Amino acid sequence: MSNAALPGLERLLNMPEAMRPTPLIRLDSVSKRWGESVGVDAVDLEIHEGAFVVLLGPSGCGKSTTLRLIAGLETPDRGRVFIRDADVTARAPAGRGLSMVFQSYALFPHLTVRDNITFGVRVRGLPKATIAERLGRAVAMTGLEGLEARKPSELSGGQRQRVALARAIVAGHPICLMDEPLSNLDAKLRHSVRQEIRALQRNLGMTVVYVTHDQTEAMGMADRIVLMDRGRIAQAGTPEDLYLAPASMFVAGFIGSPPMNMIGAVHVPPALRFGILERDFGGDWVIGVRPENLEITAGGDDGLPVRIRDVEYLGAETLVYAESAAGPLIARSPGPLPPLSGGGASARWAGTAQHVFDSTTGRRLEPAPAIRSSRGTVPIPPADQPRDAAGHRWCNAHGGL
Amino acid sequence: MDSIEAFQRRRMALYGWMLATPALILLTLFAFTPTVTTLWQSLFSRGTARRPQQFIGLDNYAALINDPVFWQVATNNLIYAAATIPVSIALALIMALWANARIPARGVVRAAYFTPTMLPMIAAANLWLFFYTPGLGVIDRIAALFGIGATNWLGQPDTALAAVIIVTIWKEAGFFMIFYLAALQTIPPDLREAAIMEGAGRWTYARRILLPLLMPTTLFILVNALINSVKLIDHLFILTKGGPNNASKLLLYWIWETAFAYFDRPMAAALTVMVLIVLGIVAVIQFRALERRIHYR
Repeated sequence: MSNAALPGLERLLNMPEAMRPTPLIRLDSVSKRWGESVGVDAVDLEIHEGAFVVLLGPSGCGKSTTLRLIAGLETPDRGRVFIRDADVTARAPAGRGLSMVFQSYALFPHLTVRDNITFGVRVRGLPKATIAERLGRAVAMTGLEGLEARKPSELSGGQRQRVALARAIVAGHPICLMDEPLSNLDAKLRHSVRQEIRALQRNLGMTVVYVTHDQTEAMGMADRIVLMDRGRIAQAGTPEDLYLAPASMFVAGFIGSPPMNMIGAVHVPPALRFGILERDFGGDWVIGVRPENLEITAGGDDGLPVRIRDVEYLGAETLVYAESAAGPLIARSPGPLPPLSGGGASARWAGTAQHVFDSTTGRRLEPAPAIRSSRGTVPIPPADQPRDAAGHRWCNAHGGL
Repeated sequence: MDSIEAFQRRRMALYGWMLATPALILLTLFAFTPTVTTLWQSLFSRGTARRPQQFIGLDNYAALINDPVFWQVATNNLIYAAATIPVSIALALIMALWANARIPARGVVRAAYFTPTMLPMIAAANLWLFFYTPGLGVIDRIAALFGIGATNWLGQPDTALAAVIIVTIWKEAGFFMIFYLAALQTIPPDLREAAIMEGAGRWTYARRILLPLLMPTTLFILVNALINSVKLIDHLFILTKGGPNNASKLLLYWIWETAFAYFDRPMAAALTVMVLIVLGIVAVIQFRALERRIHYR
């Protein structure tokens, strides 16, 4: 189990594809369907050792199915699953060397905290001394000291969640799968547990595959986000990749809150068609602008004319809701705004902040600029990368971490 | 101040009694009064035209204890309970696990298992009479295929009780299965998946997770099965009438016989009291001993 600290990750990110080590988990065009409904459709995915990978998407996008396919709780109809280069497609879940934290925690209600945590290691017949030592460590790590003799029904939601985590730690497996582990906690607790899980993962050098529908959770925790939509990978990359260079309108709309403003081609005034007229994109296009990049000012003739509907002051930031010919727009600016009159105003944005999408296929048209981020320069795939018939493979699903 | 508090207390007490009244009336009418009457009856001698009934204390009980038939019937009932209770519970669990699994035609399987329960016991007994009939019955027909001669299953002391026991198990297992089936459906599938992820096999899961979680249901079924082992005697009227030579006679059937065939009401009352005492003791032991080891969710 290698301890992949951040510098290691950065080195990996900057490494050419061919030089990267083989991934810990690899899905090779895996498909799973139930009758008519598609669970997962030809998904390719690589997860590297020590990474915190979040499978993100709306409900029914196939993220949980993907996790269950890795776990072995489902068998794929097509495609293969590899763990450490071994084909585990037909292997039972217990033989794959991974532990899992369930959304419901799946604690055994009749067993004490101690017996719940050590259930797996006792089933596997580990020596008593090892079990006691591992139990002590896991209990200390998750802050469950003194609760060992309680039953799950005598614990709070947060404590139950910790027991589920401790059970995963005690197993000593290098891979931990988590299926929406925070969705049953209240908002305040969720925030602190998020950081605890992240710290545990770093300390233990575990590879975590984490499923959630909450983009804040994904952005805050992930080394790498795999955003899924209708059984396919819409985009995979670092949180910065997805936020700064969304590969499609779906990604742009899903990541970021409030969502990206979408402005149809016909409504974009000439002054704001940065570099679009020169290049012939053909067909219809849509310009996406993040709320923080949209500037709404009183007056100004060359911007997009808007009518301000409402202003929400939230302390650290102010949200401005406006109506325009292109539909409702949201602008976000730091701190309080000088009072705006309800009359004529106009919206504008910088050329570097625009995202251009094909309005029929939804895919990104404009090649994104190289992104400067804390993790170094990340190359973003060009927009005209070949794609398959269904138009879904342009995303950087093979990038690895 | 004080009077308001007292008034409130009186009002709550009145509410309590009012709420309890319907149950109290019904229980008094149909449970307590008959029990006390039975107890009182059992202390008298059998009245005939020439010798009127008179108080004889515990003589009826003494007579019972000295009656070899009483001991035979009691032994029969013990064997009957010892065979029907564990076997029907085990069968019910196995059938429930089977009917709960993802199998084709699950609805048909469940209905098939439940059918014996829906049949009236008398109808079931008639059905089994056809199975057991010497020479002509289904069992003997099948046996004949293997060259085995006719057997009078119900007519010989060695097999009569066993034949009656089998009918009871057949009748009860499907009924108990329904309870297990309901309990199984309340166990979240996550638990099984978690156990599998932790490396538990099917057997380990059943023993360490499933059976403990089914314990409350098992206790419920156990109490029911015990009550039935005393109560369920309808089939004796059709199948053996307690014979031959008392070989398949059970306590309740004997009570009925004593009361309505021999018209010895006081003796039947004494028997009833003894059955009540034994059942009461068993119920207390069961709840005391098992309650501690059961996890209720």
